[in-house]
Amino acid sequence: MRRSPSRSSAWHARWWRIAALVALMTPLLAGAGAVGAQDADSTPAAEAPYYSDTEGPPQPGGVANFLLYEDPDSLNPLVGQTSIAVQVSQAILEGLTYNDPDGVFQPGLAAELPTLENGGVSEDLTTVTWKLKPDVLWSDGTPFTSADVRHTWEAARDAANGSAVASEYELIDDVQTPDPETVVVTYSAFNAGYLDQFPWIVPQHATGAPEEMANWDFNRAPIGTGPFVLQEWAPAEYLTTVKNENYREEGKPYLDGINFLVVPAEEARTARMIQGDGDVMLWAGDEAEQQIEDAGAGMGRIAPGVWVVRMWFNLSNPFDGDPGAEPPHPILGDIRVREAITMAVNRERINQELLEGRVFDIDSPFAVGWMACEVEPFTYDPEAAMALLDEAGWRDEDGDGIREAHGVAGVEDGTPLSLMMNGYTGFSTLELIELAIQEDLKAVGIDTRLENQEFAVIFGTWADGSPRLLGDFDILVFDAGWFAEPGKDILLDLHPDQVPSEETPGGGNFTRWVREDVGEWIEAANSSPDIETRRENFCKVADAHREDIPTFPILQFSEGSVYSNRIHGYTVSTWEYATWDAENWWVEQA
Amino acid sequence: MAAFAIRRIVGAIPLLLFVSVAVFALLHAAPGGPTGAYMRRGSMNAADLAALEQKLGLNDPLPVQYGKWLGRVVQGDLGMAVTTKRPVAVEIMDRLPHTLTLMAVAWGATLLIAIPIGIFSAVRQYSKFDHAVTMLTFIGQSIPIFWFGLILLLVFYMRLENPITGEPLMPAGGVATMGAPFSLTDRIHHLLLPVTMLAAGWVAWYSRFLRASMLETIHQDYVRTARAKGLSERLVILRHGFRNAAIPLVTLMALDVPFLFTGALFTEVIFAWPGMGRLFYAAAERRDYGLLMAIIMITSVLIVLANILADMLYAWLDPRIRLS
Repeated sequence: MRRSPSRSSAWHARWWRIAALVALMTPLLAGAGAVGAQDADSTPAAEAPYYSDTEGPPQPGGVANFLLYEDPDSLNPLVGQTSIAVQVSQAILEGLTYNDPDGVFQPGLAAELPTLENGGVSEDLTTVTWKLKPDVLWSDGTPFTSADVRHTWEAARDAANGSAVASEYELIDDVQTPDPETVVVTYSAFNAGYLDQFPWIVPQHATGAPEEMANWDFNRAPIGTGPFVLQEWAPAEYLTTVKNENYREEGKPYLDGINFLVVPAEEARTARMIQGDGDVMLWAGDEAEQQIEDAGAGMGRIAPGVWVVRMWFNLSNPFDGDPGAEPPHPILGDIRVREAITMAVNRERINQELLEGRVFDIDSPFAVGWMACEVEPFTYDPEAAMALLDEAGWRDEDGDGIREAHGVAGVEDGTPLSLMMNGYTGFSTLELIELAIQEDLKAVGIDTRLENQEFAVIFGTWADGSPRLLGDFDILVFDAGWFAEPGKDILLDLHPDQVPSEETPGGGNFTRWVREDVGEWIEAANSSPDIETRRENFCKVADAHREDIPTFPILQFSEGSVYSNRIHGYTVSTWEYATWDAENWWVEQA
Repeated sequence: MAAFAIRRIVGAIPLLLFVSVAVFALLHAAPGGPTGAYMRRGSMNAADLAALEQKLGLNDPLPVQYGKWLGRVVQGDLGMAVTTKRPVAVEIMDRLPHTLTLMAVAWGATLLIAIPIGIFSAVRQYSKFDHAVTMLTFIGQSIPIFWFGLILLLVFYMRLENPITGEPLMPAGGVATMGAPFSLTDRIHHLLLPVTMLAAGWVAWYSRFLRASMLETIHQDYVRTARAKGLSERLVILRHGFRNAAIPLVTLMALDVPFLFTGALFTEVIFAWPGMGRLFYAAAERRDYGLLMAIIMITSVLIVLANILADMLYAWLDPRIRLS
């Protein structure tokens, strides 16, 4: 298993790259470093799909260089951040909880996770009591207390404060602080994501009035409880951090500091890695990774990513001016056609040949994280696909290679089996996948017209007239992901009430898959604090999803970076950002 | 002259207003908006995005948004950058000194090299030197600057070493050594590669321009007259030839002044230089309307001013031209 074509850096447009010229340089670059034998088999933890460096013992001291491709925008996650900024924030700030690499919640600043059993969650599920770790200090020496948690809520709860996460807090009625180590959160209704409620805590004494959050000096000069402290931020050049002397774990962090260097050109980041001036190259592209590995200067390390490429089938009639789920799609409304498509697409060819095995196979969006529902795998069987299409009334009688309708309900006889397929532009890997799908479908007599649109069009809002919200598409191909606590996203994406419309512009049920039982299972999963109950219900949805095939998962991207040979102690996580375990990092001293 | 300048500046105001309306409309016509930067983050859902758009005033009708923008700008307030939540003026001032340093040094170096080359190759037309220079300038003009930058990086950072310290001969990029106290030599060390990358193309361009201009001048009657008067060749070339040939060059230089502000994207990208080019590129990518408008409008103002300056310089250098 190797890492994926990194989606994040790939869709970060790199229009200045002149492929041919860069290719010209490749052999030169590759020869530049000392080519030596390398330890290709430093095995990840047994069975775990993610890479964990277990070298040891750690040597304290030294500084690691972390290469970013653009300048962070803000270091306060509550006001919204680009995905690059969070990489830095997570070395400085902490929350009450975090996710381990298996997607399971673990206490961070909390002493333990509140549950029904330990009394942390009240019987009526609307009060959650957090016990905080005692004697934790902010990096400036001020004690961390429950008042900081309350302050975080006060700032984060209102979009008028500049909060980008306000809706995450809308179920909270009050946050009380009976003593410095206890936080009592009262909800108006049970929040299944209560463990994910405080992924970040900001200090009351070092920020400002909650209403002023957008303008806090803190946003560019944060004080945190994390392992590192921001020392200097030279805009678009670098951010230097030093060890937090007040960090709560004895003897950690091992490093004296991490330098985050902003180096926009991938070639320049690659050069620095090869010359030993970089220790982590975030989301390196395949070419860069290959060059660094060939030079013996580092290795790509991966974990499964949260991003899953899927085909999204529109189950309702498109282009009829009605975003509702009825009437059904004339072609895709028939489950046999959808099933046939899944049998016609050769996913193994895409994953193993086209993407050289740098991605993970996946059969259900529910197959990841703590729920890990197993569903009946999809199989590649073009013969069976053709038989199914014949049965559904789609046959090629005129011999042009494209099937036409012959007695399909609601479709005029002779209508060709032709579908529009849309993705987004600027991500070449996605384009490759689409082309492969198109070829496979052609082979069984399904014609697809490929039309990729600007990212902002596909992912636009209701007001922008985004086609996926208006229901004006046949098949969409894009990557989407659920995070460690996916309850809210699953509800938005699959609940029958979440079909996007004028009244529900934020709904995410693009495929218009309307099943009342699915809605009930999702609600059941989201109204229980018991992980087993939740898993059970979500897996019922997973089975229904497999049965009805509103979407067809193609592959799961990997998450990861290229690491130098001298850095150790890191674990690549699906669920957190690259610096999530920075306190464990250490470098070999020369 | 002053009256001319004032008249031209006043006359430019409607033009700039028109430019601002056109740019504003074009920016908003492009799909997407400033909240796009957050669209793919799991923590920002549709409701929060909508609230953010509301707070940023992105849902107002375009003329209202434009009116608000103009109202602020005439009061000297360029507004806030959306993603960084900092004043646009601060964003620009963070980058401007670095941009001016890089561009001014590269520009100065260009002139120091291009002027002698241009004169010499015109005076010794078709000499070996001229042929060599012609070839080099063609290479300089046609070489893709991005590729040239990468080659500089490859040779001077990856291949060549400082024989004493064993470190790479040149730094990979940046303005100065991180964390080190200010040192002029360190700054110069960091400037060498990006300036070389920039100057390569410019020297070619300026020297070709000056060569052509010189060739035209030195065949003029008044140059022959100067020679006939018995003036030394040096005086003929410099005083009678170059002075006149330099008039269009000065105009060209004046017109290039705005680029000192806009920076050089490719060079900044390769050598990790925190300049205006990258600021603009990032703003465009994030659809940061406030920042984009500010940079585009400042550039427009500079272009207008540079044109006026060029006209005035031309008139001042060439007495045959009367501005009124």
